[in-house]
Amino acid sequence: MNKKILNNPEKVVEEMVEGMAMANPNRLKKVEGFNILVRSKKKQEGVALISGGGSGHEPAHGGYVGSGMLDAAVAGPVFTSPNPRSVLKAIKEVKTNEGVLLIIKNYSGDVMNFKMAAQKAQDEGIKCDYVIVNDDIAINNPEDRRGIAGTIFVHKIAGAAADGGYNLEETKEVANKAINNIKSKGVALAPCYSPSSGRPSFEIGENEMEVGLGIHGEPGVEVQELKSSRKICKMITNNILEKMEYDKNSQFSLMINSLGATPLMELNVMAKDTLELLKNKGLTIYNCYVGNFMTSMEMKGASLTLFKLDEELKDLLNHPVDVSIKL
Amino acid sequence: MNTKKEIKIDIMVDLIEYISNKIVDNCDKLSELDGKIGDSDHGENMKRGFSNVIKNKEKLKKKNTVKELFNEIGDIITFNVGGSAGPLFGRLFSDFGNSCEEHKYFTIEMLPSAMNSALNGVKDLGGAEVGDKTMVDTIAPVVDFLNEVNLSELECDIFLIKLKEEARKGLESTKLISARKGRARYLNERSIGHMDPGAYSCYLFFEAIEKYFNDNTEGV
Repeated sequence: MNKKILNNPEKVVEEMVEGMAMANPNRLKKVEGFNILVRSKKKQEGVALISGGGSGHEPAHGGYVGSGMLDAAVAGPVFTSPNPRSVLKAIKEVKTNEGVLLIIKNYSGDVMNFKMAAQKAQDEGIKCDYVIVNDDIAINNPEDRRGIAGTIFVHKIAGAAADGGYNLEETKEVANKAINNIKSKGVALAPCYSPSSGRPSFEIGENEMEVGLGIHGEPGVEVQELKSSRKICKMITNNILEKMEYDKNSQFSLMINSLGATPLMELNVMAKDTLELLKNKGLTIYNCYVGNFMTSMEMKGASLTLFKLDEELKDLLNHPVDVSIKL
Repeated sequence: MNTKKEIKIDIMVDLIEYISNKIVDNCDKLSELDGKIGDSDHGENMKRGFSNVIKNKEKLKKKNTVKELFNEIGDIITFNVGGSAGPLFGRLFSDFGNSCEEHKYFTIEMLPSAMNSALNGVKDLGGAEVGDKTMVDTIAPVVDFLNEVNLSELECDIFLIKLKEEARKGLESTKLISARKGRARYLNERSIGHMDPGAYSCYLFFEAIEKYFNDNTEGV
């Protein structure tokens, strides 16, 4: 179950980051001595955007570095936030006169380390601010909600805003508007395995699924019997819509995201079920993304994200990007 | 015991190395605990950080003051452990040192204020209080004990056992409660019945301190 193609588990992050840079030489460059990917051609104008977090979520976040999206991605050890020194290094690598915006997923480690780096940057006179993504509605208390696949929408919106000449304050504001409109939830069917220890991230019965997982392999908040795609999509979509304010004229972008091992075949079955369900509710889906966007290594399962759009967000979502994965 | 006996920097580094080895040796145990309520990596993270402390032993011995020594250890931990444990354990050591100011040696007399400072630093950074199922639960009873006890009236070996027991009591309390901080809080009541891995790491510090001074008969 936990077979992996590796050289040395302790070097997995470094080798992966090097590999991404080598495979995409026109887009990506590794920062010497750090597990940081930056654009091969540094952006000279506009707010610079940095995201990152523990590794194991590929293509997040290095896959979103490129024109129209991020300027740098900082990779920590597997499922472990990078340290403040690495984040500060990334800030210094990509900073522009307009400043730097950090896009942080809401986990205590990420928030602590990125905020410490932002503080250090400010102390050194660099304009730096941050937003915190908390799209996972499996958690009731909004302050405790984790950042999961919806984070990719935030990268895209903020990236377009930065390209469009928004200043730091405006980029932060539109990113926060997006964050408020993005809600996700997922199910996990089988765990992922630590590359170093080989241990599964959680245990689950043959016919069970974990509802409301986090992307670090931590167990979900509730175990249920495994159900059909139609039933899973209905449950999650209804959960998400309950937490959203919308009306008949609202338009949404939909993301069906694999946690790593669930194949496109199953994701597309989920896409059909979710799109039919939303259509029957009379809701308009502006566009739909299906694929591996925010994974949890080889975890089996998927998450759904709904992003409620207005005209400004729609324009920004349409902004072209050039990153190493198809978006 | 003599609370004014000077413990020089190189002895402190020797003790820190001993504690660090204890953490490294318990890597699997810590990850196993983390697997119950977190993401199974606490052991590997702590091992990465504390191996780096051991690696820097000679550099640490050259530090002039207790404050410099513990600030440097704090930095090594912050930058190498990663996750939230990095900054939190880093702050524990850094703030421990901050209260020792420019002293060139450590004494037991300095321990209460150093531990108070360390505990406050961790609470300040992580926002956790007693009962949230975190490392704070292990440290707080130790600090309470230090604040109440008359150190000069205690024998050294009894004192060290008492420190360990207070830490153990705090650690055991994390089994009975559900987490309100860190990733385990997402499990709600499913975290009850398991010890907090960060609290266990803190307990290992005190277990190691007791064993170190028992094995090194000169003691304090």
